[in-house]
Amino acid sequence: MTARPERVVVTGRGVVSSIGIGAAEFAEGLRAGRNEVAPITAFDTTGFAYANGSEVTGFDPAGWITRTPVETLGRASAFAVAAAHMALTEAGLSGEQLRDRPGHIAVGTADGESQDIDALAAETVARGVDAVDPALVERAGTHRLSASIAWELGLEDVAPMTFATACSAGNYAIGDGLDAIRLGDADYALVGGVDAICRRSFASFYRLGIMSPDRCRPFDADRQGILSSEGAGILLLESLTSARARGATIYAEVLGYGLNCDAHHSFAPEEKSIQACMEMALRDAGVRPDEVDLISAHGTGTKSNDETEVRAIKSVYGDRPPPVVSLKSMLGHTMGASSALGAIASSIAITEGFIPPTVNHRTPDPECDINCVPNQSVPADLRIVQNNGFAFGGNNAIVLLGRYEEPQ
Amino acid sequence: MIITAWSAMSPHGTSDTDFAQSAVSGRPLPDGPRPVPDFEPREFLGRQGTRAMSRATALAVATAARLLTEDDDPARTGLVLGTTNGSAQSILDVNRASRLRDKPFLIQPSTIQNAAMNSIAGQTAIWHGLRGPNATLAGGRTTGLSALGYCRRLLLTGRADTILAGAAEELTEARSWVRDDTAPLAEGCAMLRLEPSGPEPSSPGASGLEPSASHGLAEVLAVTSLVVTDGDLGAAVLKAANRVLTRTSTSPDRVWAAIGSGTTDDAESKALAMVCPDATLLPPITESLGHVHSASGPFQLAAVLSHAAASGPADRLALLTSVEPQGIAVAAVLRVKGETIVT
Repeated sequence: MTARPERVVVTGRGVVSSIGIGAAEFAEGLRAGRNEVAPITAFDTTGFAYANGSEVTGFDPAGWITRTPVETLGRASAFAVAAAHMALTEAGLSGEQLRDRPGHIAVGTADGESQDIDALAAETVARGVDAVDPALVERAGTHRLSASIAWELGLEDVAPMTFATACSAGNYAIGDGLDAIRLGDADYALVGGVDAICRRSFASFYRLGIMSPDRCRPFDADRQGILSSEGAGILLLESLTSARARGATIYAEVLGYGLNCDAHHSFAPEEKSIQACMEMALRDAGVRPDEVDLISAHGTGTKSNDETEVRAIKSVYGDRPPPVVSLKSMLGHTMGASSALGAIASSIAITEGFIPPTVNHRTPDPECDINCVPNQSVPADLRIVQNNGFAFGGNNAIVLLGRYEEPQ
Repeated sequence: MIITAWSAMSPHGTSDTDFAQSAVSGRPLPDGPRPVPDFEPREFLGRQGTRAMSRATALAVATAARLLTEDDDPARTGLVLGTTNGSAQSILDVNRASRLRDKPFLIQPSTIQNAAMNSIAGQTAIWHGLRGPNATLAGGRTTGLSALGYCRRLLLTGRADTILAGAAEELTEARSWVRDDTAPLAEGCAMLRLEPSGPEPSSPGASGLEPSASHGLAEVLAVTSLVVTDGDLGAAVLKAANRVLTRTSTSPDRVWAAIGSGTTDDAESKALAMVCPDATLLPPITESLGHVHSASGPFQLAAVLSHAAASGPADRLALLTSVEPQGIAVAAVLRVKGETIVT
C-alpha cells in the first residue's frame, strides 16, 4: 500500500458472557475477577466423571432481537446478533444509519451453530438421516453467524464473513475488519466471535484429557486444563475519520494484527510460529515490544499451551515481559468468542485503567515465570495491549490495541 | 490479484484436463450422487499419514500439491478454504460415539481432529508446510467468491505472497442432511493459486481498464457481496452484478461470459441475462457438476478459465455470481487472459 492506510478505531462493543452481558457488566466482572462455574445443562452429561462449565445464564434473545423471528436463530446466532445490537447501541448508531454505507461483518467461530449441529447428529443416530428436520438444517448453517447480523439490522451492502478458525477466530475477524477499512472496502465493520457450549466440543476436549474438572487455572502448577464456556463479543470498528466526524466515543484503536499457521501439529502449539506471529502483529502495528503494557494471553490453562505461550512471549519480550493475564480463568474457554472477548477486555483495561486478573491462581508454575496478576485486578495506566489467539490446526492470530489519544 | 493457476478433482475425474474438457464439451454426468472417480487417497498421497484423513482433506491435500512450486516460500504461502459446516460427517461420528456408548468420551482422536471446522486447512498446511495465513471460511454457497475478497485483502496488505484458495466437499451420509432435489450431490475440490497483481492503482474505481498484469491466467478485478434483506434473490444478483461492473467501470457489453452458481431456480440466470444480454451464459455449476456447496465458487472459476482457454482471443471479461439461497449474493469480475492452460 502506498497511501497511508486509514486508522481504525473501536466505537462500540457488545458482550454476551458468563460474567456479564453488555460491556458495563462485563467490565465489572473483569474488575471483580468473577468466575461462574456450575454443572453443564446444555446436554446430558451422564457418563462423564465431571462436566462443569461456565454457561451464559439470564440471556433473553427477545430482549435484544427485534426484526428476526427468534426461533429462526440458533443459540450462537442469537448471541452474535444480540452482541451486535449492543455494539451499535454503545456506538450510538442504528441499523438505519449504516444502511447506505458499505460495511463488513466478520464473525469467528469454532463450532458454528453447534447445538443445532449436535441435534442433527442426534436425530441421525436415533432415526436415520431422512428423519432430520429441514428447518434445523437450515438454521444450522455456519454462514448464518455473520449473515444473521445483517438480516437483523437490515444491512444489505455488507460482506458477511464467518471465520471457522476455531479458538483464534475472533482475532481473524477483527483483523479482516481492520484490513477491510484500511483498504477502503468498508466504512465500518462489525467483527468478533461467538460459540455455544455443545456435547461434541466438550466430549472431544474431555477425550483429549484437557478438560478441567472444576476451574481453569492458567499458569498454575496444578492446572488441569480448559473449562467449557460460551458467549459472544462483537466490536464496531470504523475509520478514525468516520468516528471523529460523528463525534463518537473511541474505546481503543486497532493498531494492527498478525496471522500465521504452525503447519506443525493439529493439537499442539508451536513456539517459533507463535513468536513469528507476535513479531508480525507488532510490525503491522508499528509497535516495539517495550511499548506494550499488557498481554492478554491465549492462556487456556493447559500445560502445553501455557508453557509454549510463555516461552514464545519471552523470546519476543525478553525475560521481563509486561504482565500476562488469562481471561479464560474467569470466562472459561469461549472458543471462537475468546479472542473477541479478549479484545473487548483489552479496550476496557485501557479505558478503565486496570489489569483484569488471572483468577483461581494458587501455585505459580515455575515454567511460567511471568506476572499473571494473580486473583485481584490492579489499577494500571495502559497504552498498548497485545491480545493473543491460538487454535487447533495451528491457526494463530494476534491483535494489538492501543489507547486513542486526540492529537494535540 | 492474479489467478496464476487452478486445479480441480471433480466427478469428471481426478485431473485438471478431465474437468476442463468436460466443462467445455458439456459432457453429462450420470444421475445420483457423484463421487470423484478413481480417487484413492493412498494412491495420490501414499500410505503414510492418510489412514485417518477424511476424504475431503485428502482431496484438498492432493489438489494443493499441484499448485505449489519449489520456489514458494512456505512462510509466505497461505491457504484459504471454504466450508459448509466443517466435516458434518466427522461431527456426526463424534456424536455417534458419544451417544451410543456408556462411556461418552470414547472417541477416536483422529475423528476429533477431522470434526474441527478448520481441520482440512490445518492438515493441508501441515502436509505441505504452509505457514502463511491459514483460514477457513463458512459462507454457504457463496463462500468461494467471498474468499476471493478476503484473499485480495491478505495480498494487498502484504500478509502473504501467494495464497491457495478453494474448497473440498466429500460425499457422506451427513451431507445429505441438505435435502435439495434440484441436482445430485457431488464431491470434489477446486483450488486457485492467487498472487498480487503488482502495484495497486491509486483509485480503486480506476482499476478496471488498466493494462493486464504481465502474468497469470486472469485478474480478479473486484468482488462485491450483498446480503438479501427482502428475500428477493434475483434482485440481489442483479444488484450485486451491476455494482461489481460499475466498480470496475466495466460496460456490460464488454462481458464475454457469465456463469452462475445455479443454486436458485432460474432467478440467477435470468438476472445474468438481464445484466449482460450479449454475453455467453455458461451452464451453472449445479447443472454441470451437481451440488458442490462450498466448492461452488472455485469450480465456477475453474469452469470460466477452462472455457477461456479453449477458444477465442485473450483479454476478455467474465462475470461470476454465487448465491446462497438463504440470502447472500456475491459477484466477481475477472479479466481472463485466454492463454491455453490445459493441454
